[in-house]
Amino acid sequence: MATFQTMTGAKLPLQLTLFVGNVLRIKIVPGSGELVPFKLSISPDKSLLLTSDDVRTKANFEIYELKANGQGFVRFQAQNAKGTKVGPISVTIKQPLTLPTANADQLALIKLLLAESPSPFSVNYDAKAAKTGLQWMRLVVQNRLSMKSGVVGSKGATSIIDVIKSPGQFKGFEQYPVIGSGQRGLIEDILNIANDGTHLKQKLFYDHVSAVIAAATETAITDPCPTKLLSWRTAGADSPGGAFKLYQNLSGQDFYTIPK
Amino acid sequence: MKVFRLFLVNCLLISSVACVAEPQKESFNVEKTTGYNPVAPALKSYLVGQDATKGQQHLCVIGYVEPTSEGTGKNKIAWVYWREGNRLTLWEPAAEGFEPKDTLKHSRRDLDIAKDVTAKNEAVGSSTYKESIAWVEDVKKDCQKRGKSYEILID
Repeated sequence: MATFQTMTGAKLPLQLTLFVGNVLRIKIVPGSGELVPFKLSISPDKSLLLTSDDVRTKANFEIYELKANGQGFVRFQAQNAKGTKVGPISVTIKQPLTLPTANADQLALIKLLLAESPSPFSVNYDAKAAKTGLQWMRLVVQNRLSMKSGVVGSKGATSIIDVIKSPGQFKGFEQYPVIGSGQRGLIEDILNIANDGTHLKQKLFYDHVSAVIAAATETAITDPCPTKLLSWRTAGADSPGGAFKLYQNLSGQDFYTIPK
Repeated sequence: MKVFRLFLVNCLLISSVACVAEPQKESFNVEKTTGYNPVAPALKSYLVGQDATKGQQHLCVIGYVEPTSEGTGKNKIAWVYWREGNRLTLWEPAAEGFEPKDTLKHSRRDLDIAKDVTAKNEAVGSSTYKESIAWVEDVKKDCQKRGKSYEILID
């Protein structure tokens, strides 16, 4: 029996999610006695476009390239001259997730959190711990703004952006809105995967970006540290010393406070 | 007898003082660890991404086991020292579906030792990324002792 497959040979799920702009490459592998070519039909035909149909007659399989053109819900199926049918496959096409730009402070904080927090690229990533870790990182930045002190690099700061741009505090953000190339590349790659319906880890990255946006834009949680979270260091790095004392390690970061 | 007891107490005190030196971090072999292996191709990819100049580049990689969340778990991380680039880079193990070169490329902490290092630990202050020269030198020395060195040709 003919089947739709991914390019790596796995059977294509009956339901897919893509984002506008995604390009999906799939193949039809006929069953015994079945022959290519197959005619692909898409309904409705504007949200998903067939951009390439590569018939490999000798090897008896066919490769389709489909582009998600617009938001919507579509189905596609295929049939050969003998009436052998494949599908249907249902596709939900969404608009890509974008970072909210209405509030400049929040946008800067979102980018900082994306650059500094552990991401699903690593096996060390723990989605549940990451969510709390992001909220704690937001608290650090917020607490520095409230404190307005040279001790936490926020003397004279009047905004979140001031805190983030403070010299020597957050790598790659001193010239914000220009961001360091390493940080910029990481943010872009995280967003690209979050919006790539053909990527195996798309949902994990999408949920991570959503958690970052939530941590930066929703009401802050209550600070768990009685003397306020005031800094973080990547787990494995040295402690800052001086008055800073470790509060807790969480989600790949060591969080610090200054005891009274 | 009294003198002997005093002698014994002093011995215990001296030996316990000798033992309070900070224990070494637990290390691991990146070559044998999923998420890092194969190491050399990942290092080469990193060097190309950093626009390393042509010729032999020398790197050292040391893996450390770091406790997590109040000691309830352990994570593996590694530090990569690149001699010619004078950089120290955090390398977290790649998740399934990604290659080791991906997490090295996307390191959360890629330090320029010329710019991101302070003379003393106190000068780090509230910086989330700067390190003291003493700490950097300790990592480099430990890498020579317990890590693995690589020569990668950029042509």
